[in-house]
Amino acid sequence: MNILLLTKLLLMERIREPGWYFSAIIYPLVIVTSIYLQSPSGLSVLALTGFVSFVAFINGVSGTGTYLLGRREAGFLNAFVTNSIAQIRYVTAQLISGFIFGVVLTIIYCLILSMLYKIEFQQLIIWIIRSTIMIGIASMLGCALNLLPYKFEIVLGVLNLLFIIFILLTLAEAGRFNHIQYIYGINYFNPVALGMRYIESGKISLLYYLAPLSVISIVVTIRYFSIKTYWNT
Amino acid sequence: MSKICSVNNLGFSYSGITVLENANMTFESGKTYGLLGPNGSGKTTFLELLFNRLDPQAGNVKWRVANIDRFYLKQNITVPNAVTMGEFIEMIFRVNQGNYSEERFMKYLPDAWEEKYKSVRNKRPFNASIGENRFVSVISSLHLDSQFLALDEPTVAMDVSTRNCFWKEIEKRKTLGRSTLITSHYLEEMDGNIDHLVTLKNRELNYFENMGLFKEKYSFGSNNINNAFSNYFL
Repeated sequence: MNILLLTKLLLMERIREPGWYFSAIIYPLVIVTSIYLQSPSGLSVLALTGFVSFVAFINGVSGTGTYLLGRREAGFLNAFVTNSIAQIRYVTAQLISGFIFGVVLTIIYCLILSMLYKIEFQQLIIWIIRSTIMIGIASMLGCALNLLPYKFEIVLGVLNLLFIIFILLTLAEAGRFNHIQYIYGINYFNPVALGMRYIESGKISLLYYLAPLSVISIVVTIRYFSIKTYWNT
Repeated sequence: MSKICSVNNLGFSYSGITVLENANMTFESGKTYGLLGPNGSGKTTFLELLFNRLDPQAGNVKWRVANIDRFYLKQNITVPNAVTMGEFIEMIFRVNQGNYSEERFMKYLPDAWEEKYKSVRNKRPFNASIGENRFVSVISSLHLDSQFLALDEPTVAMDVSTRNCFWKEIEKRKTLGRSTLITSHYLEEMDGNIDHLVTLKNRELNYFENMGLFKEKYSFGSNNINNAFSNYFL
């Protein structure tokens, strides 16, 4: 019960902070609009699932990892989350709040896409369920950002660059470059592309290495939780 | 009284500057300790070493209480802007104690602080004064009820009545067998409120049985704590 009430506090904190508009609304909308304008005939179903995977991944990572990193750099963790039990409580609540936030946003995006592209209800439910699994994986993977010994701005800069590379490679696979074999190969290391393939086809085997990695990420984060700040180094 | 922490031959330096050398100290339960030193003498560094936020180059700190039963309130605290002061306190309790009830929190709050708490609980940090921000951090730290609590300049920016109530709360902790280590530059308020005095001078940690002895030895007859401080650290 305590964890759930702490989760509620962290969710309220997140909703009140305007920073989430960028990862949750502006970023995905700008990308999907620019891609759409490049292909006026419309986006393929695979590209749509790529977009859903992107929304799930970016919000999963942002909802947990960037918060655990940002709060560390603000000195909050160093001041108030210092013993191991407190750290487990805080990481767990942050993980759940990031997950819930990501799921709600992904459902909203799926509903918008279903209206724009006339996706069947059954298909929509399948997308939402698979996206939820992707958000869980992304949230757990994101926690490990807390361990990076770098300033918030550096990590956020690299992360945004990676998000752009991930979505471009994903849409390349879904669009006109789908015949180029090496893009398909590179995308085995691209979580957004793997998410796209999983959401579209349901092939669970695609998550074989992402799922264990996410579990390792959460275990390592809790074990080596970092409260040291780097903004002043 | 039982020993709850011992500092053994502690040494720390950074960028070629030695901050602390061969420091030894024992903290006991049910005592209030004052830590004195001029600006830059290494008081905060000592607290960071005590609470394992920094790694010493020599010596060690041995605790006899679990790490969940000791708490250190830093000098500069950033209260997240997106939560109210009341939510911030709830967050601190839920993270550190695993439960929270505002009713219970209010019950343990001294009467003098009840109205003050009510007036700040719905404020966001950017709408509150520095003193109110400090007040909220201090009352949450005090009511976490840790066996050992270290407060780095807790009364900075607090008004007189809040400070008076603060010292009464420290006294209450003592009667419950809790220990507190406080740094402050308001020497008059430490005088009479602390049991033992620890000073940091020329990289050395020195122990005085009480503030009276320190005053007697260094105020050169004036019996003034500020004079004693100036003479001692000159």
